[in-house]
Amino acid sequence: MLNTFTVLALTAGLLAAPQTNLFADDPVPDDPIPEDPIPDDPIPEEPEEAVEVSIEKLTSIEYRPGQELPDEIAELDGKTVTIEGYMAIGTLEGVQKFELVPEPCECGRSKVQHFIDVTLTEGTTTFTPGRIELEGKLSVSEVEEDGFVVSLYRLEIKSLDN
Amino acid sequence: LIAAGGLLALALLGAHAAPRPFQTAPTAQESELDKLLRVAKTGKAPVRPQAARRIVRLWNGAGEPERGSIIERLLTEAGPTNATLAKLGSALVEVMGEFEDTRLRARLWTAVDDPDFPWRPYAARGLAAGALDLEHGRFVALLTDPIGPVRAATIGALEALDARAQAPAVRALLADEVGAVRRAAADLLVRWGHDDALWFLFEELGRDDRFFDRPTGREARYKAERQLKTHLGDLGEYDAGHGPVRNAGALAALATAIEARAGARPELPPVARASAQPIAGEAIGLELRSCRRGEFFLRWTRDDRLLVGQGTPAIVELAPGTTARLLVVGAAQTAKVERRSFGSPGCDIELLHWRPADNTTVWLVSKGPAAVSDLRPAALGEFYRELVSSLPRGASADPRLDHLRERALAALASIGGPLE
Repeated sequence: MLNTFTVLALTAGLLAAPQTNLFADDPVPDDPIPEDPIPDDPIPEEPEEAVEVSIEKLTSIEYRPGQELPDEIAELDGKTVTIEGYMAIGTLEGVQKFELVPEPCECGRSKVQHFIDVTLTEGTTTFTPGRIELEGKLSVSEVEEDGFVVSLYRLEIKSLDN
Repeated sequence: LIAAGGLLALALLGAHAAPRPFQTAPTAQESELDKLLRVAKTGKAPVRPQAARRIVRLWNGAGEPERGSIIERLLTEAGPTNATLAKLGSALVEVMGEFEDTRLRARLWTAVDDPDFPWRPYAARGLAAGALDLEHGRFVALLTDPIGPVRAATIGALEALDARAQAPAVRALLADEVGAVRRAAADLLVRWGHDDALWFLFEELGRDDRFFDRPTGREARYKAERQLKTHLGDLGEYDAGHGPVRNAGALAALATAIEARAGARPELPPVARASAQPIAGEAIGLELRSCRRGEFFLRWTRDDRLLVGQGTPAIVELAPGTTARLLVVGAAQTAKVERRSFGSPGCDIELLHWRPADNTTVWLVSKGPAAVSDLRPAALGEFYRELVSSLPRGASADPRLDHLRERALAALASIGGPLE
């Protein structure tokens, strides 16, 4: 039903080649014994299972800059999450940042807790007016610039991939 | 049209800069007030309210003549007309009522009295924050304002005035078509000792409705949960993230607690009841959200029903085959529209939800501060004309259906332009 953006936020690290001998028929080098023995094949870490988080939970909190966040929100910091929402109207095309918001309109939404700042590590934005689903790493903390809290929630995703 | 669309796309791109705190560079000799005004007007959206709030704090902490200077500066910034006031943006408009200055309040009232002022809800909230007894009658008149957020703001004004004699008028808003207004009314009534209104907030906890892909019921649950916590404290095992089935035990426990405090659950008006069943067969949706002409949530289902509103909608039985015919028209017209978004950021939007099969596609028309001709693509206009022709017109006892076609046409005209 949704315009689902498949985002593979944490898999990049798992794609690093394991240290196995892929060329067993290669001639043996002069010094076949490395100083550091090659370890056994590492057991790949299981990708962290994404926690489903509703954007309404994040954006419905009462918050003022400097105020401590509710535990159930603060404990999401650093977690891999899936979250649905809308690209803010006016999102630029072809950039690596956009704001995810709970409603498709501006609708009186103006406080810092009403926005999730999304960063794409690969690829760029294409504005989609419908509801979208994202998966990535969520950061929850105040980011201050020049004395103003400019961000409370940040989501790092790999790309938007229709 | 395509060329016009391209220009609009450029406008849209320019109107919403990449996230950064300030869109204009500070100057070396800028005063604190200058800086706060600049950020409140042109900063990134989340910092504008913070900057505006700091101007209030700056004024609160100042002595004379600095206080007077701040007010004179705000009056200068507000300019002589509603058009100049609108240019300040919503954040500054929202705090202007808090400076205890009759001239600033008069500017806000002029704005609230102007149905085309884009920040009416913000102006109403600004006035509510510093409501004066002599404004009592004007606030009471706003309880029936056509814009839901203005009605909600007015409830806040009555609380600030402690206008308990208006409890019957506030009670009438428990049957408002806008959930936020119902919740604000219930919240105030409970504060005034009308504990039976707790049941209206409780009812929202059990909502599980959607408007196409948007979980409107979940949104309502979170908001009602927050309000109920202020009255009841801990809500036990209740979790607004879950629907009524998973919360059944928690809801039962809460109902027992509320009954002990407020008495038996009263009969709620249909609009305030949590949806008993999910809506099936949504095929076409028209979502009109105009800060000038109100909000409309219209759905056409495959079994020829027109649903009006969110939550528990009003239902109109359409002639057999109506939705099938509209789907044919819609398929032909939407196929002509190459892009899916038009316009620039603003508080007036049209959203077409199109679900001919399992997936929903959305088209957006958004009206920014500047008037733009031919904002809506002609093909969408053709389709909307067909959709609107299926809406009931004339008087109805149900406020959601009362002159629905006429009101929807006015909203469409206000956003994307007239359909003619």
